[in-house]
Amino acid sequence: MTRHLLEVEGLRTEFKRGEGSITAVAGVSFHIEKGEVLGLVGESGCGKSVTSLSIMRLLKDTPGKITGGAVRFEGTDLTRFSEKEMRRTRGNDMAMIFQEPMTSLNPVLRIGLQLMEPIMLHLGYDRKKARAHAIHMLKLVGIPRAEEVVDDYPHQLSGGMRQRVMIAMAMSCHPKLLIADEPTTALDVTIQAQILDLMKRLKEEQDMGMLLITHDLGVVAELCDRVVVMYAGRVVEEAPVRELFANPQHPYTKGLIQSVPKLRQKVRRLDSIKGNVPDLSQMPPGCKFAPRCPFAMEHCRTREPELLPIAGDAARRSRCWLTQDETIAQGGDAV
Amino acid sequence: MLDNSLDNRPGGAAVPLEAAAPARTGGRFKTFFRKFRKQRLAFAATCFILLLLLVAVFGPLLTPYNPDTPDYDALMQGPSAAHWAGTDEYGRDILSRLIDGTRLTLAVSLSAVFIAAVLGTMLGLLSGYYGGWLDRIIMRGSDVLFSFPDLLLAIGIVAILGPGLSNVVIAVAVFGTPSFARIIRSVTLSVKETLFVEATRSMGAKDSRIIWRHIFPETVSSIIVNVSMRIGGAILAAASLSFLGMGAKTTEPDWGAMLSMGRDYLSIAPHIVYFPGLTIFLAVLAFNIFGDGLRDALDPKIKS
Repeated sequence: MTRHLLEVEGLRTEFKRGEGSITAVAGVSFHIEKGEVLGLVGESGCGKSVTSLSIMRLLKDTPGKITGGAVRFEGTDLTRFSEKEMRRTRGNDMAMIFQEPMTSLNPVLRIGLQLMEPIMLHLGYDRKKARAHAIHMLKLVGIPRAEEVVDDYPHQLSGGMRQRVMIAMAMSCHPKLLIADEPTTALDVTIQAQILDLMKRLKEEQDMGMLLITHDLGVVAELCDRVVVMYAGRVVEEAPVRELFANPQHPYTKGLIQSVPKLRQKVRRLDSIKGNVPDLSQMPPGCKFAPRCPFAMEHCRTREPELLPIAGDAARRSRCWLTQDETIAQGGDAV
Repeated sequence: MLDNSLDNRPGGAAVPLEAAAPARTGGRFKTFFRKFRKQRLAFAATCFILLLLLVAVFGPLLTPYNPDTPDYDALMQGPSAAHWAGTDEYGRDILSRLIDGTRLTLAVSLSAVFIAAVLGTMLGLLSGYYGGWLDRIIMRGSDVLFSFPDLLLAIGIVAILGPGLSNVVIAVAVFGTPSFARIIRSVTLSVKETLFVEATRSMGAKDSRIIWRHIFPETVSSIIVNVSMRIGGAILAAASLSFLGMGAKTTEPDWGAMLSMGRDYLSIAPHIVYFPGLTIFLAVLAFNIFGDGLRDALDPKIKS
């Protein structure tokens, strides 16, 4: 098997709370190839962001800890890296864009200085060269008057511009992997489209892999090659983007797609998935989605299905008894 | 202030306020100055402090008499045209001694507060940023120091180190450090949680860089305010120690020591005590009002 750009295998992240601990990410596995955009989808609290922070090993200031699994970047396991090695990786080999462009820049430092920081750190440029590179990056992300903007403070820019600056910063050392944690959520729709186009263009120009975390299926359809759907800290479905939308397998994915409002559809109420994400400290014993699942069967509530390839399609996996061999499900009362 | 609305970040630091001010108005300093000047009392206090500083710098040029030369023809004389503040028990001109002592007093209190600020800021940054056992050790240490009354602690330290002005500086610095550590720690804790710190970390920045580049600037306004608030206390503490005979030698023109010497002649020549006492009072008051004014001007949450 060929080496993936990023391979997450059985990742577990737990948060200490009082005496016990809560498993926010429970054995998540996926991989990203070079030049590929993988969408990580799920509702709030399903462990998407914790997964991304675990990959970057940015959990230090939280009570969270990686307790199992591996994160292999070009074959080397990042979970075994020392903090120093990890620092060299962050920003250099892999970079991250955050959800809130309004607060991800230091308000008291000029944009140029903040852009130059990682450039000088990772590429070893001197100030003059770093500044030139910073201006170049600002131009690359489509900021007009880049020579002037480089001396501006963050408050002088709009949200969309700031997100462009964040993208410029993340891209400045030519990372092989870009993790974008809901990069467009805080922006208005027209700006969202611009930022998505920009990310698409940059991805193609730089040939990097991208992990796009979002709960916006529109963004997924726009940008992603493959999609991983997460629910309650687990991967419930993995599929190429077209097939996911055309023929979702897991009931949760179906629900997600159905709850997107459609044009030319005369409905009074929007579809939604009934109920809430289960409390991470009080997980149901069987399939985690069973309490909300319209297709739930008897054994769904007692035994959790594995994430297994779907018959006849090696690229797809699903964690549902419906898509799996009924004999494994002990001949339960299948639909 | 219009730009208050732009600033709702935790920490209440001054720097974001200034950053939020439109660049073309010429700046952060102007905004600050406009706010500060509105407080008349603080402005007057500032003028008095500037006067004290000038006196401290040019002291020897301003003294009408040599502060150390006794004049046995004019012992314990009351205020007169020749001696504005009278003379002490050796006939030395009190005004000259007060002017000469300004340098000593300010040097002692400023250096003590400066040392406390540097030490406290470093401890606070480390404690707030790293947390864990380091935080616990530093904070419990400052709790121990906090549990002593300030002056008692200083007396204790001087008792161990021995009397002398340099030991007074150390003693006053030691009891000033924990308050800086606590204040800076709390600012650090709130700045550490901001997204821009996490974003910087995600770009591979070192801890030291995050602390100095991103967190320290946010603490500066708190440091400035606390420094100005503590100088008054430090002057008083240094004077008290000198008064108790643990600081300046009685031959030195320290305000506290002058007070202490005059005490013996309180009934026959009260002016020997009045003038040093008044000077200490005014200096402490000026620094305290200045500190309050500075805090109000630097805190974006307080509307002018």
